[in-house]
Amino acid sequence: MGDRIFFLTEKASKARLREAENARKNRWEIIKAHSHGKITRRDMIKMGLFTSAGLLIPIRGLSPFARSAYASSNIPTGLPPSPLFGVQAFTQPMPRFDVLPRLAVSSLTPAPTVEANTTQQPVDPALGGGFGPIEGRPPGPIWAHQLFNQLPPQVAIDVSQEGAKVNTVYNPGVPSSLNSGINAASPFPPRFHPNLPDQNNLKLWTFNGTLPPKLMIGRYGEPILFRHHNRLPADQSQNGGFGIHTISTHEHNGHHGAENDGFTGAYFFPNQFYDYHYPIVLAGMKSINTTASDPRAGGPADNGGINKVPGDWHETMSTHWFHDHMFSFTSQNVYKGNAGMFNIYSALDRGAEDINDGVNLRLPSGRASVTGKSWGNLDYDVNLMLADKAWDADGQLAMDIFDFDGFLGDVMTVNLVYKPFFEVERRKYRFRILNASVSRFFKLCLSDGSPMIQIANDGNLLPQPVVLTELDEQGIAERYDIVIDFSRYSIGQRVHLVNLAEHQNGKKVAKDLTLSEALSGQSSDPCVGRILEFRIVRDPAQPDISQVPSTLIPNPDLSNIPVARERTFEFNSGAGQTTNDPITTFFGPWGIKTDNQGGTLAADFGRISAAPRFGTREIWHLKNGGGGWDHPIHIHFEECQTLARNGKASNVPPWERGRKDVWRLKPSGSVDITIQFRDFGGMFMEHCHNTVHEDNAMLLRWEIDDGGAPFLRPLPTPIPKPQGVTFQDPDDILPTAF
Amino acid sequence: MKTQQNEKTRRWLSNCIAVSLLVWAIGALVWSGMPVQAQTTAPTQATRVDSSITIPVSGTVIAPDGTKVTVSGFVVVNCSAVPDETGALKNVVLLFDCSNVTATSGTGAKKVMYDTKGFDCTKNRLLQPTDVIGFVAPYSPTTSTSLSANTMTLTVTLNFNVSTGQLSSGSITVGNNTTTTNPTTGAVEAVP
Repeated sequence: MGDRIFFLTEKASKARLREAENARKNRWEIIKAHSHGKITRRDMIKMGLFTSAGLLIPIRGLSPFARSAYASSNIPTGLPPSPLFGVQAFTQPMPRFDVLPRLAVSSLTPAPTVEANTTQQPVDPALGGGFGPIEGRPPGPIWAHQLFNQLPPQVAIDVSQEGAKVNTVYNPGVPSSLNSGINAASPFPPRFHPNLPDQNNLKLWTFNGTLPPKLMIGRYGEPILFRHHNRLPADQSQNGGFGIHTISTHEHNGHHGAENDGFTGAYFFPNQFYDYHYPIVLAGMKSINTTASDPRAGGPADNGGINKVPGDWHETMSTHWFHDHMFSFTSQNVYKGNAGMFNIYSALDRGAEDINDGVNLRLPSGRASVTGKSWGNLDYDVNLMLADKAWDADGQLAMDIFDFDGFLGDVMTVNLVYKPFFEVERRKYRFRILNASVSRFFKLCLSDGSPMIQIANDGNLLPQPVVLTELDEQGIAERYDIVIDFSRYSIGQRVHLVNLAEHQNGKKVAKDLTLSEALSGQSSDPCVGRILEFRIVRDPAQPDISQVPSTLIPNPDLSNIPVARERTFEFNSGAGQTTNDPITTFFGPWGIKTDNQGGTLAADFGRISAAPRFGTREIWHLKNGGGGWDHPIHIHFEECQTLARNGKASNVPPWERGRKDVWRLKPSGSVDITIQFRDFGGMFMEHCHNTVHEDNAMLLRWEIDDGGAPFLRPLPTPIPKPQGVTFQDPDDILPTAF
Repeated sequence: MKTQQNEKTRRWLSNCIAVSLLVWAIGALVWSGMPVQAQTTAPTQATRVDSSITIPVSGTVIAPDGTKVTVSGFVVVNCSAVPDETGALKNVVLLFDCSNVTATSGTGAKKVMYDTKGFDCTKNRLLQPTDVIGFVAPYSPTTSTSLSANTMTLTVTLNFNVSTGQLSSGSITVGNNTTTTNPTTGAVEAVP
């Protein structure tokens, strides 16, 4: 399986392309049956379609990697390329994110409740009929919002998950001149380019059903009630062939109670909603700066001042995202559009570059004195969502779940449109770059090799900015905030964002190209090379007074916090399974070995793999068990510090010396991190964020369950149904968990 | 729990029926295809091979304002050769640490010191006997901010023992390079 190429080129023979298209259609029938719940992975193994290791057996007419009848060598069949219908790169403007309205909590009907709202409603016959609760959150005190009365929501975000439709209420948060000339008042169709077809409402399932992707804006000290309605089809088969209509939304990587974390087994059904309470607090709020006296710990006030909050200001975060976390369907649902971004503003990171109070870092954003907004200015603070996609012969979004190495698209999108351009002024910009792909890593540079300044990693401002001419590889879910100074260019010039990371499969990056290699057009990977064009169009109306200070946010001091214990998690292929619950259990090939005990285990969200004690600190060793793949490992709940790579602190590069929540382990590599367990409790997750690996089934549950009432030790596992959530005892508790 | 058990039973029965219906169609598909030996990805206990070399750097670059900048110091290249699932060494993960590269211009009172702001660069490359990797490194006066960084092109030639996966030797060329934007091609232009 070594050096296979996933996608055929447009130059492949018609016979080869026809063969590949037929194979894709054949697989499609099976994918649909699987997504409709008619067959399971275990059924497919029984049918001889998969090896026990989870690989699709390379049968011609089915597998993209079977020997082609039209090739003399062992060249895989490949996938047919996505048709572009004559569309050229860099011919459409890049839309800024669509800012979600911030509503009064009183506008929500029904009003949010501490425990799940179990008011009964009729359940669609397609979901079994009868009656069930209007809210899908597990009922009772364990899943009640923690600190809800102490930190009541002050802002409501009311969104729905639904099929693609035209956006008539697009709000980019900036004038047209700062959005590449896009007229936000014009209807925004659900398509990847003006000359590509509209997406079918069963193919694309986004927040509010529309493009561009959504941006939530919040600030410390202002709790948010995020009401998420599921308006997807009740009939599971109405999914366009992939994805599932049950969802669970993870605010990545919020420091919230577990009931708001989007636990993979706390999903909800069509016609239900789920109230997520995001208190937006600084970690350490119960033990550090408890009197809220430090002005560096705070959120921006409407008058330009600071609303001080308790907690450790060193734990301030900035760039989050939110996405589906449905058990074994995360890759498909996120790929269908269940992903948005979340900018959090703070005393330090105000989003107003002209407020000079000695606390505000004055990073590129915009002027309060111009916009009238004392915080959250987006003029020069730009969210970028990178994702590779593929579409079928009709131009409709397509996905292939049949390779558990990972899924690669052959078409690059930025902010969910095909290779756009973005107009910039001759000044500094901040870009919040999110890798929202399923399995693809990126490695970004500018086409002229000029410097960028990385200021944040995974939403955490670094201790010091780092000057780079090419960023490190960026794994799925990692966020890199960078500053580019366009004042070095002349009006009329263009410079491109270039991807250097070449994939041959979804396991890992095959090769990081040099800039000249990437620009040569010789790569077999269609997503290598230029992906976004910056057009320098004018001088700024106001002088650029934004700054990139030499000190941003130093790391929290952990020297006086003892290490309660250490745990080891090894991420591997060839996982086994010791449980057989039809709801909570899934099967590999991927899995995790915990504390060097037993074998590698596939996911079961009813299994407790670790249960750190509330209020303690631990060191976790994350090991990649093989060299043939890479894994971006995500730990929920609280940001960690990276202690070592491959056993040495000196191997941790400067851009990883702040806090993080996703680590590329690198082939055969290891990462040592330290994490604290404080402020909240409940069940959380750790998993590979190559979401194909996560779904198949490199995920585990850990929990904080010893904080006293209402928690139980161990916590019961929720079993969601449209007619109501039930609970059952854990399927399994690993010997070293407690 | 009884309801849950019923649900499980219903799911199982439903699956059985669906599987029966699909077995014929998929079985026919399997039967009609060419039999190909199954491939597996049995986990291999990876053995990473680490090595490191230090390569001296010496050269001259011309800054955009025409200033002649003399570059010296050394680059540390840390290399990890990693096996694929078959156990073969096919890839190397490289970390270039340029933080010890410094530069100067002028003399006496006009002497200016530059550094690379701790520049590191990582690359994942295919293991081959010789690999030529070009990248650009930033440098700026020690007294200025990162925003004023210029860049110099470093061309690194690395020699590997492909049997062991270890770095054996290497060299670095620092030309009289600076970079300018070419809006037509977007490529890096070397300015002598």
